[in-house]
Amino acid sequence: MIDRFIEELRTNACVVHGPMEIAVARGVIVERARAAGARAACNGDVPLPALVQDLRHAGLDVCTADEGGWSTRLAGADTGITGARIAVADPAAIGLAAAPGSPRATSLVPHTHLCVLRVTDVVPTLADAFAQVVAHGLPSALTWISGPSRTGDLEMILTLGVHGPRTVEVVLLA
Amino acid sequence: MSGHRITTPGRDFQERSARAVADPQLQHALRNLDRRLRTAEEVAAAHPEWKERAAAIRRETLADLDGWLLRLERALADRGMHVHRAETADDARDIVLDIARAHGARTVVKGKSMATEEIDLGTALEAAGMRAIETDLGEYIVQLAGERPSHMITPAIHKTLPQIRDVLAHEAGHELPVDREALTAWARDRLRIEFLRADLGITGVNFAAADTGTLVLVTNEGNGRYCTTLPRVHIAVMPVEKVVPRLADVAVLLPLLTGHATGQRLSNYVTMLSGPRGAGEVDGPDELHVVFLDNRRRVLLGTKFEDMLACIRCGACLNVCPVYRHVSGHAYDAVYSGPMGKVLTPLLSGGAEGADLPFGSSLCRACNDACPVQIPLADMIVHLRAGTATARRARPAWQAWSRAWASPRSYRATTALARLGARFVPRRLLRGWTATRDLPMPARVPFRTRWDREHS
Amino acid sequence: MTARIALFVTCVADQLFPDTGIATVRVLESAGARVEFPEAQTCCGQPAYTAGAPDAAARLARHHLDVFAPYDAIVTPSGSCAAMVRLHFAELVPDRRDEVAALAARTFELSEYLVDVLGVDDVGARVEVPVTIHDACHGLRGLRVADAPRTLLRRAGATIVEMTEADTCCGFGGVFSLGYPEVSTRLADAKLEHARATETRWLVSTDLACLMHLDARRKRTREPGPQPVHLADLLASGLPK
Repeated sequence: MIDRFIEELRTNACVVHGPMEIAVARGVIVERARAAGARAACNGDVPLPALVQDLRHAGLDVCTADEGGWSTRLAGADTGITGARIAVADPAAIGLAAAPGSPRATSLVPHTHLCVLRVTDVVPTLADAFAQVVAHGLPSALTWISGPSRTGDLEMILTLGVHGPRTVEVVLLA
Repeated sequence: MSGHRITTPGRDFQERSARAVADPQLQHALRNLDRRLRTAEEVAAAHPEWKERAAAIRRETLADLDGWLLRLERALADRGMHVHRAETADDARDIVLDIARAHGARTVVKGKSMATEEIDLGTALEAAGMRAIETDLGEYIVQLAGERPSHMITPAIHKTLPQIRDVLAHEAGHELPVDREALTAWARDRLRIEFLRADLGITGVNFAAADTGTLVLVTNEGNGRYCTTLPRVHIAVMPVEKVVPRLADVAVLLPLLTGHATGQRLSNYVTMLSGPRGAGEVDGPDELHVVFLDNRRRVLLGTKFEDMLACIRCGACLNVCPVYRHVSGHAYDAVYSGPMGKVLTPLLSGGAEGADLPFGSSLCRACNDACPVQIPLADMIVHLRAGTATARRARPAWQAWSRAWASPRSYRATTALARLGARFVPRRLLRGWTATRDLPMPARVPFRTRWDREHS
Repeated sequence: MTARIALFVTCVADQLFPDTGIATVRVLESAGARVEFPEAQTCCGQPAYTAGAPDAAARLARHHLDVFAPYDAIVTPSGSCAAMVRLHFAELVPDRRDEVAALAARTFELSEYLVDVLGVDDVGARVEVPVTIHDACHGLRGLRVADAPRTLLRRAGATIVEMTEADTCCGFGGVFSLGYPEVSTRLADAKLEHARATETRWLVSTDLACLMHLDARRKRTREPGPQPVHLADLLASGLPK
């Protein structure tokens, strides 16, 4: 199930890392964020301890939703880093829940979206996923993402990165 | 409708479609549809059983539409959303304008939505002094060109890349290259400014789950996410038939919609909204309004056109229709085009608009087969023909013909006469056929005479 | 008691293409069927039905029902006319529901009857030529007949070269061809182009209306390409004399 999830995300033009241990993942996130640019926005739901400190230690300018000037700083961020509440294997999608500390726009505004996901949060089908999110309480906004922003509006040829991120990288935690 | 330039002129569908097939640029652009045809067919063919399940869900909904709407209304209200019921397009426009004015809205960003096209909301907002900006790339191009979408999934399918460049360069006020990436980047930067300053976001709704009070929006570009995330107020215009009983039903309908619309197993973004911004959240609208739009839909319940309300606006019938594939959306001169538009346009206008559309079909039934929720579109097209003034005028002639041919003796007599007369029929009466095709002539000896000779 | 098989020749074959009617009988007979021709038959009413005159169509549907009720099988060289009976008579003659259902269950397009009902794949014809097939809309999507004509042709020795979009409409559509000549003709041209690309000798179909349309266009343009022909005519041409 995880294999087909990864394969389909890649077909959808996502970059997938892992599954890997938390210690390794911390390094990968820092490295990927730095590769995308100096400024990052980070949601509170990322399941990695002390990630914000890691990023700042590495010299990145990091903003979080509980600090002042969030929306302005987000608009200037190169990377948005988020967790995911759940993911579906078939069809492949990650499900991001809006919450205090985890705004909706983090996965929308920056050019690069890094998402950290536990493999244990991947469920087989949409039906399974919907049942689970209903059981845990629906957030104000739940966004399912299956790849980088795209359009077919120009002569029906796929073009990536229209309004949302052009790059989506998923880091899987074992 | 006001506010749109008619891009394929002509007084009726026949004249406009004739012009469309003679337009080489349009014909060139439309060849791009063939790609979608194949991918969508592959996805649909992979899960034939989905259609049955989806059709059953839609029929269950329509069997008690008012009941499900009531449940949805309560569930949305319980989650802090405001529900408004609009009987007509006028009502819906007034509701939206009232909300917009109450918030002093000046810039409105719109997501792609057939319902807001149907009520011509953009024009109403502009007339009220607001800037209403279409933010789906295709819709934005069409809006800048002063046109109307020609395809419900791919609004600018009628335009070639150089034509799109011209439209965007005109807006930019400087040269732009004929390059997809560059044009997309320019539009992205331009529209981002609008997203950041917008006071109001307006979208449609793809599905609304009555059990949980959840609005489901299907998008690919991310503009729909902006419209529902940054502005302080979000208004979702929801045609009444978008309700589904349970969120679990969406798990069935969603992949079917995206598979038939674009060949995707799931659209790039699926947004599920179950309320305005929550306590402690930093983005999302303060207010979320849902406008239930009837506009002559509920009167179809219990009629032979009820099934049309099962439509999930995937565009599959457009993509497979041989007529649509050669004439494109503007020839229909209506919000909805293709086979579903031929049915919906006369129905939603009470027969006032598009009465001729049902006649512009070869009844090949490709639409029936393509429809993910099994709407018998070709049969509805025939039924709609019967209700038109054109059919009423022709009825005495058909009655006379059928009386004659219900008797074998007069069948023989009339066909004998036709055999004699066929060579003398003035060609101008058959110009529709003979301008491009030779005229087949009746055989000198009909089959039945030859049968008699051999068997007597 | 032997089964009574009726030929439903259709008004189009009767008046315009009687040879195809004769060929249909020959093919059926070579498959071992004994065919009757109910002389009271006229037209199934489809032209009136699709023109939006259901009352006129219903009158002919009733007549058709009366004429063919006594037969065990009703076979026609037109998928479209068979589809008219099977799909639309119930709506036109609601007061004779059972009779309509019984008639619909016994009405067959020629290739469908041979292959699916009689179980005859090989009618004894030899047609060792390259052919391409146009799947006529109502046979394909109304009756779900797609394999039967291919089976018959293959067994007769024909080489089938499938064209692009064999299942797309030829643009005839009855009154559509008169009311929308530009679009109708464009569709015919697309079909003929696809057929031409197969470089075959015959463009085979199971509906005379489509064939009439394509042939009429082909005669006007004088473009090369495979000759439109009804399946029955082609098979009959390869039967022993």
